[in-house]
Amino acid sequence: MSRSLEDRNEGEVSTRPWGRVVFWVLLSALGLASPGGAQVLTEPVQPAASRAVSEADVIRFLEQATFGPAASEVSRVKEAGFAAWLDQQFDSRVSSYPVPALFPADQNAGCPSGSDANCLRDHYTMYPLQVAFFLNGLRGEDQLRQRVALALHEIFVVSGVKLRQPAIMAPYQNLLLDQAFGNYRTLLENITLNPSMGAYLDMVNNDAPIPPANVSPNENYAREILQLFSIGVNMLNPDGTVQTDSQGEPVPAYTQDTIKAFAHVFTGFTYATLPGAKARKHNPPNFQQPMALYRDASGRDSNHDKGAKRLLSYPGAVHATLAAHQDGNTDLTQALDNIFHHPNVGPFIGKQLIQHLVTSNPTPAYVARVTKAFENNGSGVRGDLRAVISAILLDSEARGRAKSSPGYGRLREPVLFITNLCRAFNASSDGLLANQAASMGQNIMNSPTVFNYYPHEYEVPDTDLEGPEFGILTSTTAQARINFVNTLAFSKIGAAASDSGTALDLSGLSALAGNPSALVAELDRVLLHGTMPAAMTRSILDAVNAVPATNPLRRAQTALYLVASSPQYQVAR
Amino acid sequence: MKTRRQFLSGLGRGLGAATLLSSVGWFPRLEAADLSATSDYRALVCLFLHGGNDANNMIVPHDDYATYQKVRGSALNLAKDSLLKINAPSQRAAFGLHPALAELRDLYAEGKLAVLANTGTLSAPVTRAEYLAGGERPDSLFSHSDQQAEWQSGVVKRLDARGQTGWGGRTADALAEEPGSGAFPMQISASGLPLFMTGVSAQPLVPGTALQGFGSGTANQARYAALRKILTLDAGNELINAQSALTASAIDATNTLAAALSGAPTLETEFPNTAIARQLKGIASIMSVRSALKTNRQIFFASLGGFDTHTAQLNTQQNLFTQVSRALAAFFAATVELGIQNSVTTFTLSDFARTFQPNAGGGSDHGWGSHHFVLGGSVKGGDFYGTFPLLALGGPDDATSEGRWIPTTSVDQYGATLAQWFGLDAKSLPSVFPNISRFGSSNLGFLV
Repeated sequence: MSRSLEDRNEGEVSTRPWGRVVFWVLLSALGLASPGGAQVLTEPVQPAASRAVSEADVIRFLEQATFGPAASEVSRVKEAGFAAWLDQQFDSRVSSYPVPALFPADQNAGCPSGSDANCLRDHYTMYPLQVAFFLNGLRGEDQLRQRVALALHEIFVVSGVKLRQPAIMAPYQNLLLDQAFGNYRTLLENITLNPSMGAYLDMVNNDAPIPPANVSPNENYAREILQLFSIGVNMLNPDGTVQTDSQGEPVPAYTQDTIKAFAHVFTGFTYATLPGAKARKHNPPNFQQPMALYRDASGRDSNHDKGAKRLLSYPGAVHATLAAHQDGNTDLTQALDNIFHHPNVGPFIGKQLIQHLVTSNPTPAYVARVTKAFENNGSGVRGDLRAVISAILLDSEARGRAKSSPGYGRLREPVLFITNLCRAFNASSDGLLANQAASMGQNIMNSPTVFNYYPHEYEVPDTDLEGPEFGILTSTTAQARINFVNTLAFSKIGAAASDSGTALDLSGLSALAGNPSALVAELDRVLLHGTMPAAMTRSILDAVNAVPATNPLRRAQTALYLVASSPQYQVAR
Repeated sequence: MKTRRQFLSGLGRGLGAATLLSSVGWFPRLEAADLSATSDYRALVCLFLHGGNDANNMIVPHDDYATYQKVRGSALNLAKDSLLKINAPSQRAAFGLHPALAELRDLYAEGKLAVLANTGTLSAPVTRAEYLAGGERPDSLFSHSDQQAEWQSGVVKRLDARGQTGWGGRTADALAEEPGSGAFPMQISASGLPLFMTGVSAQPLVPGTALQGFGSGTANQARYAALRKILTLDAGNELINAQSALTASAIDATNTLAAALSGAPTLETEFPNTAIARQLKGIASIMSVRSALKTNRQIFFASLGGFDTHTAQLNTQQNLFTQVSRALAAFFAATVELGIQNSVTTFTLSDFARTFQPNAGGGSDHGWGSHHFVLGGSVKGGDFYGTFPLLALGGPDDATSEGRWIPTTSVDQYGATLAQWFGLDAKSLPSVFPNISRFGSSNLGFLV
């Protein structure tokens, strides 16, 4: 009947273990706990691909792995099975972002008076990338890649709020698309040396301290690569739960001194020298190539700190200290290896990928299985993201009966809420959907900070559950989501009279309107994979029957509005 | 310790969420008893400076300027003759406000603005020697997300369940149980869902969008009825139920607010055209209809981002402080216009201060203790509270060697002073500030 409380207790030791245990005891004492409570509602682990796939599970799978289950994609997965579909997607060609030319930092110089009317929009806002984001999401054949890249975009965050130009943002987003199925170690290095990240978190032109000037190396990238991009602030168990000491306090994964040491590692790098230019300590911007270690005329990396550095310490640590006088590139390689081999990386990154793709509150056992895939892809390779993604999507907790547990699922984030509805009803679209997402609290490409559009550890009030996307569900955005459905169902996004905009194809639903039960059943099948409660069906039928049968489109719109605006749909499970 | 919140959410799980939904709305007591008297109106307004404000350049020593200048160097030094000089009798010294804070200097001179010196997250008072020896400290110092959460929750240990709520929210919880508390949500955020506002049983209203698309006619009415009915269903899933509860409460509270605001007086006070000023103007508008909302206690939240000045700090802070100073001055003027300046206290919070020593990018890195402003007609302004730190790298107030000041006043004391002025009684203090007994005084005296 329900996922066990005991199970939940383990699942969230990472945040508040004791109250919950106490509570379980209390409930048991009151006789309120389910006798079957200790039973975990997942099926025995078996290769999902070997089982016959139900349409309902195919639709669920595509909600997790794509920008929304389109009918054509549902057929493909039914035919191929999950694992073979994943293999096809791993080899898919990338639908990438356009990379416009770099404009001057001063927009008055880049778009002087008399410029094209769209000059500012196209060169100093994220507009071109926002359009490409939605078009790739709606139509790209590389659906899994786009979806995983979105998750990476929300873990390894850079933002147009600071970078401002699409010319600066686009190469970084293309990097995430290109490496979505690569190795985490490669991804970490490429992100570190990417000039967009360099500009966003200030690693570019970070100087070694040169006495007597009293300045310290910039700590910004050093802190966030550890806190957000790799291991997090506390030591984790392989199942993602926080390690505690004898006092019950979390064990910190590093100290301020560790941050300082990494800040010293990340000194001496600047933009790649432009063709024909002379290398300088602080080169002019170049967002096309990775940052590089500055070398003076004699070949010395004279802006890199040469002291010894004490990095992360953990059992079996790789390069826990860096020797003095090493070359800057050696320091960087060894420092990234030091991070990469930290035992936190698997559970820290793995759990977040599960939360982005499948469910906000995975059981510790699920996280542990994904950690295992991170640590070894089956061929002895650590950090293989293909293996991690397969492990996440084919896990018994993603595919099995766990979906019925009371804490299962995730609130659809605004951009996916939009694209899922569009793809379900074969929408025509010009990709101008960013304002809709922004009104729901997600201004895509413009994350307010490096902590993403919403905090990854947000706890849903009045529950003991994490629900990251609830961090942007306010009284305003909750209604904006319903208003979006209203516009999409009854009209279209964009000017009603023009050919552009985004409009659903409701012909299939309208054809069913003569039989309201069939109409609602179809919506249940397509949007809720058959989970609509009877009371909800009755309410929708009441509303549909209040529309004259002579107006089949209005009936279809009414039914769609009520299903798509319902929390039963907005929380995907 | 088990919190009331856990108990309630546990009941929801054990007895079925329908019970939960009916017993605990997302907003407190929408159908609470009528309240006619709003004469003792009081409001707290939190202005959160996101990213960690470098208070070292917000308040600069004037008498001992040379010490400041030597460490800040050319990268971060504010010229002495640009500073807005103020006297701090309690510190027996003169200081300079950042040159962009002209309006706040005037309010300080008028006695409406106070400075709270070197305040921050603490698990207990700690000296540099104790700190370096591994002594008492909050979890995850210098981390944005953790320090924001600790400032807002008043709980500095990550595994303490009380940290799931904010001290603003818990203050609201405590007062909502008193007779005569308002029917309308006590917490209103002009900027997202801060932990500060989250209570055990109450979430803030975030005014903005209202539900659209319902004209007249039977079909529309039937559709609206179905929408509302669906929001009451127990889905057997806590996330769905949470969204249902939030949405239903959002629709109701938004309708209530819209009705009240339709009769709002026009504010004559001019606000600047900045995001932070718009937030504060919206707050003033809601205050102006407090009688229609039948509420006599309100907690508001506004915020401004961009304070994470790892690079290019001088220009960034000039811009941000200009916005803050002008917006706060306009807001104070609006409370005067509404005749409630003595009933409204506005205060700043931020992640942390920043390193006194500059970094390589013309900026500064994450620090700890910070200075803050408190503004209002009930503020005993024109002076400093707490103790200004000794600005010495590696000195007795530095946790490291770059000037990360060990706070000498705790967030708990700061919050407790505000909450008691707001109406929280002394015996309820520990329920809101669980560590308050570890610190010397629970009232810093900056409010009448």
